[in-house]
Amino acid sequence: MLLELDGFGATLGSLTLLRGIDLSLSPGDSLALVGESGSGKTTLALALMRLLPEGAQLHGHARLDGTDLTRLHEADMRRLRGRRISMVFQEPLRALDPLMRAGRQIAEAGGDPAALLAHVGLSPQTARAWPHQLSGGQRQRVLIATAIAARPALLIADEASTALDPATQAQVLALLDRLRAEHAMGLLLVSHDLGLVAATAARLAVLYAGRLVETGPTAELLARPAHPYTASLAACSLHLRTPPPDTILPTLPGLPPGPADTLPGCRFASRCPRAEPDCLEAEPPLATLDATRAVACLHPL
Amino acid sequence: MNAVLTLRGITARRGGHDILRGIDLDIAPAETLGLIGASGAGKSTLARIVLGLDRPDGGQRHLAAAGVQAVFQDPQGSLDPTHSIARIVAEPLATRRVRRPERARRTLAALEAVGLPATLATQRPGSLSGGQRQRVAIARALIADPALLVADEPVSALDVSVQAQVLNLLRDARRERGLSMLFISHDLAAIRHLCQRVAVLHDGRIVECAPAETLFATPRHDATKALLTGRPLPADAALGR
Repeated sequence: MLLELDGFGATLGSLTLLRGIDLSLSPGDSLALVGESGSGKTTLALALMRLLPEGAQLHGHARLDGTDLTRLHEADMRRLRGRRISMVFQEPLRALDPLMRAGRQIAEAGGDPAALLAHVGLSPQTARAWPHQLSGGQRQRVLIATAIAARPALLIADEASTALDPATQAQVLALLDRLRAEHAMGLLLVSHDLGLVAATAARLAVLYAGRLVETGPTAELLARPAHPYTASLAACSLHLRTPPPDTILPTLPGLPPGPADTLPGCRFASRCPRAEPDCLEAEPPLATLDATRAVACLHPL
Repeated sequence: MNAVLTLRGITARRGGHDILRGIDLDIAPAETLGLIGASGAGKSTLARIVLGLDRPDGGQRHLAAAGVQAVFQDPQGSLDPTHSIARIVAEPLATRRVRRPERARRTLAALEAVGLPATLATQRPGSLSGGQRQRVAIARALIADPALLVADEPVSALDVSVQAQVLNLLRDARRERGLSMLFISHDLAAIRHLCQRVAVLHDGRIVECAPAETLFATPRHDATKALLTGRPLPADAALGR
């Protein structure tokens, strides 16, 4: 197993950012973390990179090739970061150094600029370009080239394609998928839209308010969501199906509870169309549905 | 019926480059016109000219009725963090000598229309969620009953769950108020859902303009096909875009 999360969590003072996450990823496997803002998907990605704000504490276990990232000294973590585990961020203009040419950024990440630029589908001349001279899609490709420069075993891509136009978006996702297959690299995608990652990720992990609420193979999970939250997210996405034009779209009113809210019971209960009184008593544990699927809900669909 | 917006031969040069090379476009009353195109095609330049924020270098822009308002991608950046929500929403009325009781009444009505509670009126933008801020921006845009709304990527920064709410709001504004809209987005699914007609901007020109259904079913121009299939044009591929 490449990555194994076992009761993984994160707290910051009295705030519970993530709790009780169980997930695993094999080499060459792809998994998408999905959920709304505040669901904890980016927090989980940053926690794995050990890039949470100072004072944050990790709980449980997160093993990368057997090494528990939660127990690692910062000096050892620094040796892993960018080499064994690497991340592509949402805003390439902020993640790239504006005062360094593209080629040098790739070289500093430990890779051969010419080979890597070709690998991500950019011309060799791109090496001479400053970040501001590149289009959004080109910047994202340069960023991916730096992220894979040291051949990481695990690549995390946080909304890596969301800000791009659809043609470029599809290309970036296809590129990530090709790199995954060619290098038997684990790929962890982060997105708020089930529909955007449905074609790229083999498996989905749906997060809600810092908890894992459902996980399973993408096609099955989208065809028959078990958690009412997954079903609501899927219904809202225009990228999974085409509703009749100019009709009222289904919505998911309300907001998820924040990390300071310590309500008993299921954290989705206040927005859930299927909530019963017992949902407010205790947090439902993640229960196995079959060999590949699990859901944390007392009254699944 | 007379068009709400008429553009004829609009050209724009920026930094020595021809960004727009002769744009002809009409938007009818109660019509939502979608505008799509790859990054750098000139969409935002055209939006700024329609809004009157930038002057074209050539051509004519004609608005049949007074009032054009805008909703942008980033609601955070377009709302003054030091002002109350009520003051932000009422801003377009300030220049129109609307009396205070009338202003307060219309502010509450505008908040209600976008599904925000009246209790939010005294709060500042910083305490709102992204979806709530975008609804404030829409309430402000609609309070003075504009003839035309320019919406530039109004949902792309929002959660899927909130996108649907905002798209529903824009749909209602068209059907209930007869609002005309220029809806600019990378999100083809949102365009297809909301727009009656779609124009494709490529290399500074409108290369195709058709009813939404027709355009998505039978795209004619190569640039449209490239946008719809997600495959780059040969020229873009050569540039490594």
